[in-house]
Amino acid sequence: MSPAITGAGCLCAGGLNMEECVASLFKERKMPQPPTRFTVDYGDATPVYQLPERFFEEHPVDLDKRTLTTHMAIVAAKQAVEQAGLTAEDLASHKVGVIVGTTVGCAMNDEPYYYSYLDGEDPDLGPINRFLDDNPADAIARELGSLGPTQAIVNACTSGGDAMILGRDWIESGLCDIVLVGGSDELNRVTYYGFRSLMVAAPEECKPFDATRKGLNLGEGAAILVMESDESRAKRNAKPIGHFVGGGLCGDGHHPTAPSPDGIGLRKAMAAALADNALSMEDIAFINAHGTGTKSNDQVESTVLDEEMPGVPTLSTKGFTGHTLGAAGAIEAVFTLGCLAEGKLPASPGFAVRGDDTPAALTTETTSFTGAVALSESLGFGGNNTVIALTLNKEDA
Amino acid sequence: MSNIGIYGMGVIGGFGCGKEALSDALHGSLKGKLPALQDMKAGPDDDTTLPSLMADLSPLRQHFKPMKLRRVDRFSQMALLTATECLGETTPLAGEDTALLLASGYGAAKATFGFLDTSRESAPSPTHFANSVHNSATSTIAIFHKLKGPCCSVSQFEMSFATAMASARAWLESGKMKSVMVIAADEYCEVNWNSRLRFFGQPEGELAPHDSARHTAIPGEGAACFLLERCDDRGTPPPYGYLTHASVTRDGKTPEGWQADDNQFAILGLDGHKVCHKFYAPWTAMEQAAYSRLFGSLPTSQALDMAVACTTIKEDECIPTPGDKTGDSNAILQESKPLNGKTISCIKHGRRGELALVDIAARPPVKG
Repeated sequence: MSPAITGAGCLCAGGLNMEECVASLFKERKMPQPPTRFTVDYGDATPVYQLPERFFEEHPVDLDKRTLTTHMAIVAAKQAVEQAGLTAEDLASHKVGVIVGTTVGCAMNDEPYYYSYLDGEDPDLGPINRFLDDNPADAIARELGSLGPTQAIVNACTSGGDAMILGRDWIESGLCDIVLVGGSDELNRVTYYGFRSLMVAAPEECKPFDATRKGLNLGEGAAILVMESDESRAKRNAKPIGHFVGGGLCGDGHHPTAPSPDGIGLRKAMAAALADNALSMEDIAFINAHGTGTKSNDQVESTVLDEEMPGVPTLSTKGFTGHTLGAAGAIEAVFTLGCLAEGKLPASPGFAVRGDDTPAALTTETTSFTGAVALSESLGFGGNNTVIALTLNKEDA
Repeated sequence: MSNIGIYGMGVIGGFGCGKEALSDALHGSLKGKLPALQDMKAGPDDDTTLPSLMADLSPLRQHFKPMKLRRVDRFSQMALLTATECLGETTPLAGEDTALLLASGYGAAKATFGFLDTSRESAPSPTHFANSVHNSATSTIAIFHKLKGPCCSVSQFEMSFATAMASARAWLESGKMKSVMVIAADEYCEVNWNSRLRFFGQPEGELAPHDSARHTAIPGEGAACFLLERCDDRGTPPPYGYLTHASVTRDGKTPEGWQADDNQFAILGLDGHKVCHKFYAPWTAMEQAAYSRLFGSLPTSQALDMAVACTTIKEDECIPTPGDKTGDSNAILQESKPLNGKTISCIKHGRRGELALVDIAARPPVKG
């Protein structure tokens, strides 16, 4: 089964809706800056990609009651639902589900609450209530009035892509007719410190696959897509903006934070994504790589791409958005659909020269492609690997 | 469509470690024997405590050397222990390609706060950070058991387990996966215990799950693991029953096509939370029991209810609610009796009334 995608919402450092994000991807590179919403108490601040300030003017939120992660997810979901033309009546069904990938959105890690607790005070229980009430998948369902199952995927940096695969599976099994799928993650000091503790945060702009890369830049954002069965789409006469034609997820079983050097999980995930619709390398127009800019991720991913997909044009957008963690797979799915619609790829921000350990090259200029199907990859902590296949018209796949 | 069977199980909680411990606790409750409560720290000072049902993880050292476990946090150890028990019982058909699907309400809470400790006091700890991500447990299981299949972790508080079961079912029905291990886990964490204490206060007497008038909840920790496979692939009947339904509805109503009948036994997720008791009113007429006195209150308690359901099917014996059985319903089971082929519905309501429903049956729903 290849469910249709009938709507998409997207926000990140590069823009506040899908059209804006895709258009600006082809323009000048945005540079990361030190974080402004939290202080950095040790070492020099490493730069990040934050949402444009105008987001908070256009979409005001009380962050004492709602996390930014959930707020962004709701904004993106509303954009997606609007584009899909779904009515409140369409949504109010046990057959409409929501799956959102996140890392920060399900973590009970409120620093002021915890430190106040440690100091023997009775901190206000607001952060606990927010944790209990603000699961992003559940919050979207409440906001939109959908009544079916909700699921937050907490699978580290592959969560957004995993949400899309599970959405397809929920539709295929008949559990749902429509599933809002995607991911959302905000910049947060706890994860910021975490990536710095692992020594993978770059002191400058990230340079995916490049010989001089020094690590990743964290980012933030959300993307939600409306995934729909053929029957549901036909009944509503909704126009698809793309189709989900394959998905594979596979673990390495190797190391808690580093990918397996032989890339076994990524190879298997890629094979599974292609197998869903009997696709082969010749069908692939381009690949949207995970491409974070860290030594180990890029080495493994680049090697696998060079061996499994030699010569296929490859892009990384992390130098445009930063690494948005649980949202990355979904945001990059939106970029992938956008590039398919544009019929071209932009240069990969930050990439200039291949390294000795990164045999696959990324785009360095606007690049055309042939073929109708694109792959988008996500790799994450725990040795997770996720690959999804997208196309504009499934008859072309 | 092939039936889906439960071919292996691992479980740990306040009743002990393993299937036998759970069975012993169920039968012991018939003689009034209940798992011992421990006073656990529930505040920054040592004097603030809550009676709790705690898991003993020491059996894990029978399987793995302490040296190998030294960087594995308690949350992951609990999940690993149940997966190890499950894999010790039977070999999954998919071998190293077995899929792991983990559900948790809080995730690795202690590692998360441990990371905050290091961030405040010195340099943030990379080990605590790596352990703090929700999917560290599936990664640990995969590494320790050399599994290289799909791994996914989900979190939906009390609904976590049912949504994971729904996803596992979808994976198996699609034919894309042959073996799925669903694991659910939640651990003791003094910060969370403290917030419970501040929300609800101390329990008002002995845990009485069917009593709507008192708050009697006891916090607990635990984990359970189930190996699911298509029965046609296995070719043998599943020892723990057939998974016949898994769903979540946000409005608390049963999904289209699902109907309660006289041939069902309900395991209710009642755990002494007075504020949630009202949501269980629609189930008053179903023959029922609640087993929270064996493992306490935790977001993924529905997985432990399902472990009880699997035990009930295996032993063909429905055991009444351990401890206090008093309540408004006439359908609360008072004496043990044979299951007699009934379907067991594990029913859990969330804090907003959402309904998580997982059904298992002793007999195959689809004749193959």
